[in-house]
Amino acid sequence: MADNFSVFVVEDDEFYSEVLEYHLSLNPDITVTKFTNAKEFLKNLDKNPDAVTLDYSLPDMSGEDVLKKIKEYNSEIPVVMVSGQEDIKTAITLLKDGAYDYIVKDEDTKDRIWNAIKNIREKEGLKKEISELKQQVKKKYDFTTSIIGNSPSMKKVFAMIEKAVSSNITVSITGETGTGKEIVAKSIHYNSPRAKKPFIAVNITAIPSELIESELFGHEKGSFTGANARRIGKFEESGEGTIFLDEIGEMDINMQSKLLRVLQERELIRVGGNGTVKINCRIISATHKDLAEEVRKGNFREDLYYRLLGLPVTLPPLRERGNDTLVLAKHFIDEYAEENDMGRLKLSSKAQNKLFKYPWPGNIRELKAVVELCCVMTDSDLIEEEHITFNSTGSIDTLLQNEMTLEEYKNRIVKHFLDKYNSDVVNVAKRLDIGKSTIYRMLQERAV
Amino acid sequence: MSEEKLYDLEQLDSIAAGNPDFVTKMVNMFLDMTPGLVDRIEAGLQTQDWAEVRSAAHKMKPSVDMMGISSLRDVVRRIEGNAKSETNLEQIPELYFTLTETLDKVYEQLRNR
Repeated sequence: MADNFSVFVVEDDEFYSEVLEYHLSLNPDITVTKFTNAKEFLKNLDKNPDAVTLDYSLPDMSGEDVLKKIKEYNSEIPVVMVSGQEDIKTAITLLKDGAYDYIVKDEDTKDRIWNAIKNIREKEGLKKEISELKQQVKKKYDFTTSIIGNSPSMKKVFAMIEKAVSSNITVSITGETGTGKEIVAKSIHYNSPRAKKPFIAVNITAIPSELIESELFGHEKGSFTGANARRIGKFEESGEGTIFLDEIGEMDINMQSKLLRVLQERELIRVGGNGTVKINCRIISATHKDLAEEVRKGNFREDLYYRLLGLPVTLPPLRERGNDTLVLAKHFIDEYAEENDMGRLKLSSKAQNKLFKYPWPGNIRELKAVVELCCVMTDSDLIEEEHITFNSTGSIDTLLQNEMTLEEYKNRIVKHFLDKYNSDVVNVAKRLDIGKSTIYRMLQERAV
Repeated sequence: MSEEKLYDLEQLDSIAAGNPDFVTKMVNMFLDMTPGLVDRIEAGLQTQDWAEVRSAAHKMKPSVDMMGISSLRDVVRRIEGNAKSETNLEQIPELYFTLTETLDKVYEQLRNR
């Protein structure tokens, strides 16, 4: 909360303003400045008081006009109106004109003003806190620091992000799991002019398909069993901010056409509703699938694909990012060490080599988990090869861990393809680029 | 001479939160300010300037309330109200008389408190 809170008391009754000043000054954080007329007060408005108590009947100007002048100067200054008479009409007018509160002079006035000032202080404190937090968030998603990497493929990504930040274009992000699609989306949002507006992330796979329409577009009361109140959907919630549709490739085909309509018309109809609601948010979508391929297979509507494509950002998998693996590993080690008050940790060259060679099917998410585990496993300030354990669910890796002979591996692979293609030998031979006879021989030897 | 106490400083005491200087300051302020307002009401009465009567009575309200002069609470309000609406104007001189009489006693009591 602000340490020093300045209150201007504008009151032509000296007796009363004396009481107010004394009462408010009982709180040592509050500094009170008294004014007995509007002119004097308005001259000092540029000192930006944190709050004003304003007598409605001043000798030189009506309270209403003074209030307007304050609001013209800075609409953020909270003004508590104090009046000798109770007059509902005046009260309503003043509140509409932006007064924070309307208080009638009687025995309880001082307590009411005290409370009003207390509330204002709390509110101001919260406002400041929010704007500070917003700054922090912005810093956090400053993409030059939140997205790390020097590889040429990442440089391309940075260039695309910069383009996305400065325009309003729809963005589609593609990348394997764990490549940081959501971080890219957030970076675009928090560096764009929409930064102060909401960022709403929706993971399509996380919502049961029968609920997704109401989740995205909202519903009216009574539109289905359990809808006992109107609910605003994610599109409306994001307002003038950004909606992030993650795993868009998993959306079922019916929902796709509904989404397409909304994107085309820039308006939606809540489930069970009649009226349309305009939408104003930026759309960022992401998927780990090859959407163009899904379109070819008929799983994804072509028109929706083009509608969402906009500026495509392709995040390279970690195994194609060269030295970035080590840059990122070091970053995560430092981050983990700092969060847990451990000293500086280093990677031995063998450990570096091990990290470098691994294919990282889970990408950065996996790297982070592996590296954090290393930090825990090591007993010194050096991370050795044996501290690194991969728990990948990736099938290649599991297969390699079986430590079979090359012959055995070969049989395994051929069997896998035969199973996959209904024992179509010709097809499998073509795909593996080996002779048909090789496969027939293996079948004869019952090796597969 | 023992007469009933016409004022009550309980409210001021509670605001003062244990600081007697504040109460003294406010009492002195009341003693300084009020006679001038009374004069304004009298002048207004003589010239039938009801706006002046209303304004002076209006300004007297907070201090009369704050000093806990309960017998004048309504008196001041009626002077203000009648002058504002310009009705029952004939009652104002009598109300004014009650006002000055009571205030003289209050001044006396406050000086000797």
